[in-house]
Amino acid sequence: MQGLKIKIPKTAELEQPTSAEIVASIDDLLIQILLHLPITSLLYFKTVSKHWLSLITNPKFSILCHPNPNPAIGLFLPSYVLKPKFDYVHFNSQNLTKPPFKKLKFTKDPSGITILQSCNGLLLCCSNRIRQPINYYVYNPTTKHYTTLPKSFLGTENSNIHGLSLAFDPIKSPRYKVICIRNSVSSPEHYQIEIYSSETGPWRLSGGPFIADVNFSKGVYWNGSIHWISTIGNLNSLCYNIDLESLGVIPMPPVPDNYVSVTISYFGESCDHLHLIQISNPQIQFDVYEMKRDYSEWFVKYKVDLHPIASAFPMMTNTYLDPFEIDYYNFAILSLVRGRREEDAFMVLGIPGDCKAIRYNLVSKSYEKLCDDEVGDEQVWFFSAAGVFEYIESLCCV
Amino acid sequence: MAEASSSITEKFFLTLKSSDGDEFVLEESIAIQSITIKNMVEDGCSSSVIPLSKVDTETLIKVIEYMKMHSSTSSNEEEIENFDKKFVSNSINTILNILEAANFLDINNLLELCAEAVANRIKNKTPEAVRKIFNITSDFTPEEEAEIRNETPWAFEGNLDHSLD
Repeated sequence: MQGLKIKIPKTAELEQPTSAEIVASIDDLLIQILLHLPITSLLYFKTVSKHWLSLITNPKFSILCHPNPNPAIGLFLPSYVLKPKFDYVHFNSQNLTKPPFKKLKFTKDPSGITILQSCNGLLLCCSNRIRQPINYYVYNPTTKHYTTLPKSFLGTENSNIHGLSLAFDPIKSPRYKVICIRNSVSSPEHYQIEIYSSETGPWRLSGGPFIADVNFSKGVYWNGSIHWISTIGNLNSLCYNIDLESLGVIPMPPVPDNYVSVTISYFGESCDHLHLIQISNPQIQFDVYEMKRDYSEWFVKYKVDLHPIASAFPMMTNTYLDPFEIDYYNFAILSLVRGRREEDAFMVLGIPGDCKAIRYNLVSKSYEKLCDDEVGDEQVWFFSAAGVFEYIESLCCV
Repeated sequence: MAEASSSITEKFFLTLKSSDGDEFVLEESIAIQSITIKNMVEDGCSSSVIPLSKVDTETLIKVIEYMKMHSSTSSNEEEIENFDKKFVSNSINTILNILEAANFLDINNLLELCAEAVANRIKNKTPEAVRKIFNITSDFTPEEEAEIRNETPWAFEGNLDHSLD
């Protein structure tokens, strides 16, 4: 019976392209198909043809695949036993995908590789050592591609590096810049900025020597600028506009009344919003501040009360202490993620005990345990947001 | 066809003609899910037969089935969902035919459905199988191909599907 269905093609029909050929020749249609493929398929379909390779590696396709806003989907938690390794917490407790990596082995680095910063899909990494030679890398954990940054202009032993920061925003440009804060050679008690552009190449000096009192090891990229704050002592800030190459300060939020025990518990960016949380220990009611785009002020975006979580997870409380002691609660704010919708915003908390990581919705105030099997014996609450790194999927080139 | 000839004044009917010459009579309100047909109606071409030279009979039947289900007020969400599920279980070649037709007829949700269905069919396939399905000749040298594979060797782990459907 099968045979009856076979149509004998006329000569003219033989020359007609098939639907498959037509679909493959119309970029818009092919892109529609590619957009529904998982990332692993996209990566191996790069070998189908040069045409497919060019579509998949096009920065515009990368943005279509992960349209703005592109929130973080997980968190890398480093641990350092000889060489750095990474635990991974996925933000969706239902998702059982494998962690993107356990160790960074994209290139042979004898001392191992660690992460300095996560920025819109790319990781700024470096050799896990204190002395030279330190290699710096930009790595895309989604595509597993990396590039080694060239040696810096001031690559001398006598000019200490205080921090490197990555500035990357795929919506603005598929290129990235890296800035390096060093001691000034001419004036050693001053800092000096060097800048590297993935588009135009080598490191070059930017501006003159300057004085500052902030923690340069943790820069946050937002709104076209890198931002640093002081994490101890007075609340200072500094920002560096990447395009204008100019330094400035940003206002800091009002200091609460019981000023002595205030700590900045979170300072970071998500989906183009800059957030800051300061907590007067041992209080677990606090505000999440967001910075206005014109830098005019920090406004209260969310009000948080963690008492329901403290009740649900007794390990969070040091019951042997007086409730007024600053260490009465053990927890860390590891991440704050704004979703595609306003009501998707959540915080990830690290707490002691078996549960380890909790996802707390900032709008509905609901919370859930995150998949904790992937996390080894590390006590997650011991971390802070400054020591963990968000995973944001991206097909962007490095 | 008998249904089509009934003269209910408030319903307008269109005649669509496939590339094989078969004619189908369809309610205008259903047919204008296709933006291409809608534009033709608005331009006053609906009085005569609408020739769809790029859509063969087999494909047009499927497209009409889809449009009827998706415009019918009597079908509920669950029915539509089940219909779509069954619809995309057609062979990959049939789906590609429909995808091409959906593109020509400009029926966006049908195009989306087919694009996703094609993606689901090919996602676990080898690049070789994908080439065969789309009749693509690799223009890479073996060295170039090996280089791309080496960039992300982990993507090539696991069991891939060599079949063509």
